[in-house]
Amino acid sequence: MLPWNVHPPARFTGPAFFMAVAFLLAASILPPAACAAPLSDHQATLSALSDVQAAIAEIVGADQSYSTDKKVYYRASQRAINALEGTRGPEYVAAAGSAGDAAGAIGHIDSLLDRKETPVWAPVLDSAEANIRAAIAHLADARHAHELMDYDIAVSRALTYLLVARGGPADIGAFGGLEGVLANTVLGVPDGATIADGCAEPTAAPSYGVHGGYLAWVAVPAGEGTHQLAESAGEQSVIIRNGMILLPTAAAPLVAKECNSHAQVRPSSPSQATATATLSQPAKTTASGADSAPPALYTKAQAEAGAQVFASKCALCHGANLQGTAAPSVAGTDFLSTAQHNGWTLEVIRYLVFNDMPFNAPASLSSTEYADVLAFLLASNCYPAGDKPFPTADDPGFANVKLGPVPGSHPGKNQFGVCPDG
Amino acid sequence: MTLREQLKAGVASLAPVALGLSAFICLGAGTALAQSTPSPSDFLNAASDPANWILPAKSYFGNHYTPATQITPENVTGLHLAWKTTLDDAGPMENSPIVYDGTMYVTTAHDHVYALDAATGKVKWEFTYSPHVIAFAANRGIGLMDGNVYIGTLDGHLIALNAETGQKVWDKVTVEDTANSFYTMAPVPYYPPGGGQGVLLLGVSNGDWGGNGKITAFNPTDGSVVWSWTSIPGPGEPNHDSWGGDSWKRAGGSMWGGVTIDTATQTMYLNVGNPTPDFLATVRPGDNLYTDSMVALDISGAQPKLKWYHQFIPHDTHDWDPPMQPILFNGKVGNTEEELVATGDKAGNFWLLNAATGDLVDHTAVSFQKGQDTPPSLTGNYACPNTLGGVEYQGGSYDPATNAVLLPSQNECGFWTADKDAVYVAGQFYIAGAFPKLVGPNTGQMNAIDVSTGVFEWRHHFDLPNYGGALATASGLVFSGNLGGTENAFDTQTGNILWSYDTGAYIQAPTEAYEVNGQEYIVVASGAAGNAAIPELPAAGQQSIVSTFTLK
Ligand code: HEC
Repeated sequence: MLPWNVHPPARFTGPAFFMAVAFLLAASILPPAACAAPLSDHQATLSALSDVQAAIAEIVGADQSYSTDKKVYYRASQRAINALEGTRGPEYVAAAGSAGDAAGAIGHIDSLLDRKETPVWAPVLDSAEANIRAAIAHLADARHAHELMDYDIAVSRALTYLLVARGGPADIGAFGGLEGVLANTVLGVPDGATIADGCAEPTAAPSYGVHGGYLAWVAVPAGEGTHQLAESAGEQSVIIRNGMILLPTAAAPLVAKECNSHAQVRPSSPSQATATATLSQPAKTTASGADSAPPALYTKAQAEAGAQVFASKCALCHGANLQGTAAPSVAGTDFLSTAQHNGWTLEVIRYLVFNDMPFNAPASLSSTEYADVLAFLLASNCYPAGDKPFPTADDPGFANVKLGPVPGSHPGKNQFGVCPDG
Repeated sequence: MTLREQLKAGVASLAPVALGLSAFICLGAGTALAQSTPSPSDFLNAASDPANWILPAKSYFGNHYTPATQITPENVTGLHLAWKTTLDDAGPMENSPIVYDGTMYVTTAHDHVYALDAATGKVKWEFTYSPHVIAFAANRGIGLMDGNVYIGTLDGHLIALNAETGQKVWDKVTVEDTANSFYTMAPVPYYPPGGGQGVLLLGVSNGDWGGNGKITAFNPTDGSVVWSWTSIPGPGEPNHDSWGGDSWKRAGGSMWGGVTIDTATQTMYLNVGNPTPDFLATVRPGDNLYTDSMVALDISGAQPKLKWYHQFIPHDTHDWDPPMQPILFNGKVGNTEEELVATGDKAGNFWLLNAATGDLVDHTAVSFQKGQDTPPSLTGNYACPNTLGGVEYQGGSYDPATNAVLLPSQNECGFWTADKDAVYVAGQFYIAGAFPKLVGPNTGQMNAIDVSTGVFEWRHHFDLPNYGGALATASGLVFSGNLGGTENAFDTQTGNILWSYDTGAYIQAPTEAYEVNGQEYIVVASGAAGNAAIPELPAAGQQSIVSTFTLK
């Protein structure tokens, strides 16, 4: 099994890291669409951002020209206004040309905000638009400035607003503005991209983990060579596992909070590689493990019902995949070899579960629920199902059923030997 | 300023992130520190050093008290997140970070060790591990000495890692019975003041699993045993007769809560855990010494010698041990200054003892107490607090300015049941009953207890348990984390909450303070609620997080 390592992002740094927006933006910034079809949400946001960036570049470029010709500055202000407002804005003057596209940043943002529901990104876009409008007001002043100094003051104010509208990482790691919504919400997901549940771990790359309108992570394939990565949005970690590079966004903690089972889907503890030296290895043969033909002690229907009980009453401590988070693993190699080493019988485990589990509410389930969850544990440990249900009452015969690795090969899920049917 | 400069200045808010990343690139080259671990005199003077935090409870005195004064009641509202690092392991976070010379060492539930840049949170190295878990996945921290980082693991190993690289130096199974013994406590480095071989002090977690408590001094060069002391007196030893029949053989009494040492007299103060089987006390007649006691051991010789013991709860029937590391301090009782030692237990008591004699100075009930005289029955009965209530392991602090002990406590009640008989099964709880079912509201308090009178100077009540211990600052603040995930700063004088921050995961770890490059930071870890889960907890992330705070 691959170790779950957190790696420094250093290996992947390239210019990509210094661009405020990369991969998910850079990879998908297309030439401005000339067609009539409405842009996707993602494209519209990207276009709004590039209009704002174009306006910034325009006025900064004029400043750098050190030109003594006023017209250079006036023209730059107008071209910036045009990029921000689009052809439909009241300050638009066609003759100057535009640094951006026809819709302008405001046109794109309006198209996004013009809908019935209020997505998580709406307030950010609202405030971006307010800042853009403030910038336009100052740029309009700049267009009439008599002295270069007056021009500079007006444009400098405009720039301040535009930087807020554009957004960027703050010192505590969060984004604001358009870059923020692109980095942290579904607006950052390109058309046709693979979208996964943001509460779960990625299973394929590239993919985007989304929950409740927020973007929780971006997964890109690992491997040799450089990668164009998303700006990690101030998060401190780049996680590499299962051949993927996982970038949690700044929204990840928020998402994790919303899906409180987030960490449980992550298999963690037991792996054979570092198993305790003193534990005997799981027996290939049956000598002291499970019986050579392990008894069928439960029905399939019971195990299915038990899976529900486990998820709601046990997974909190034992992990959604039975791998153990705060408490021991209860299925797979680690559990079964410990059971074998310590000589646990089914009676020991039955007694423990019926009387002591859940740890913080012992004996709180019905005997049917306990029988079901034990059926689920047996199934997860590769014991076969049969016709006879697992009894709700104690069975003295359980004292003779030794627990241990079940003979045969069990590819299972999570590489923990947890049976696929479990 | 030209627009271009302005643009750059605007971008400057980017700098912390961008610089952090590029600083990270250079790490591979390895910047060797002159001295990677503290010296014997650093340990002796740990209490007065505002920068480093080199022992689990700041110093050998067990007092979570920092002389750092940059963060004050006046400016604490300006405290903001400095960095937050998410660690790749799921489980509760219980660790006391160790900070030395700009590096912070933290651990996660499954014994992963991380060396972080204390100023940025960037991972310098990590050590991952996948131990077999006997019962609770948790680790409370590392010991730093002789160029190495030491960790005791859930599968009973003591492991030495190179402090600069994280590479394994040696690894040894040091518990006697791997089926029922493990480590969660942070190994504590100790150099005898007169010179001589330094040792690592480490208590084994085996009490509720049918083992007998033991604290061992290990040789840090190879893990060999220098001495060990067992908390259950065997045949022929004094107080052996406090155990009826053979009950002393599986008797509990773990010492896993941390060690407090008076370095001047070489006296070690230790709390001893509960007797087992926990809930069926009829099989162990007698007072069951030295369980549920504080012991003072003379550690100046080749083998520790018991100076005194003070048993808080004779013949415990409810797993009400004192898990909190004792605080050793000079405090005023009436008009006289005395050397005192304070602690708390899970039954909801605060205890103040004379450090020289072990005599009781004062006792304050800090939690709601009920049904404490009735042992659990077969059909079950109620008692308060439950095993997660009262005073827990995270500790407290003594504030000399107010002559108060700052200490959190919990109000939790339980429904307890005992079994008909006690059966030992290797690798299972040896409790002869079930841990209590939670009943009623589960709440917590932060208390300031006047040492002079034993009366509360103030109490702050929370809707949720408050496990985060207490960190007092010389500037008049107390920090503590609430189980719900919020880190709070109180005014030590008034108990008013002056500042709060929601870390986004559940807090069960103590708070600490340190300085890097002259800048003061507060640090606390949060993670899954694990076995401390209660129904009223808000939904929160279960990631393992280290959060630090600083002023602008
Ligand atoms: C609040 C946390 C918590 C919950 C919820 C919980 N358990 Fe446990 N469980 C534990 C702890 C702690 C142990 C270790 C007990 C010991 O050391 O004997 C354990 C042990 C076990 C074991 C034995 C494994 C071993 O290696 O010792 C089984 C089987 C088990 N639990 C099943 C369940 C089932 C089934 C449920 C749900 C009905 C459940 N648990 C709910 C905390 C929990």
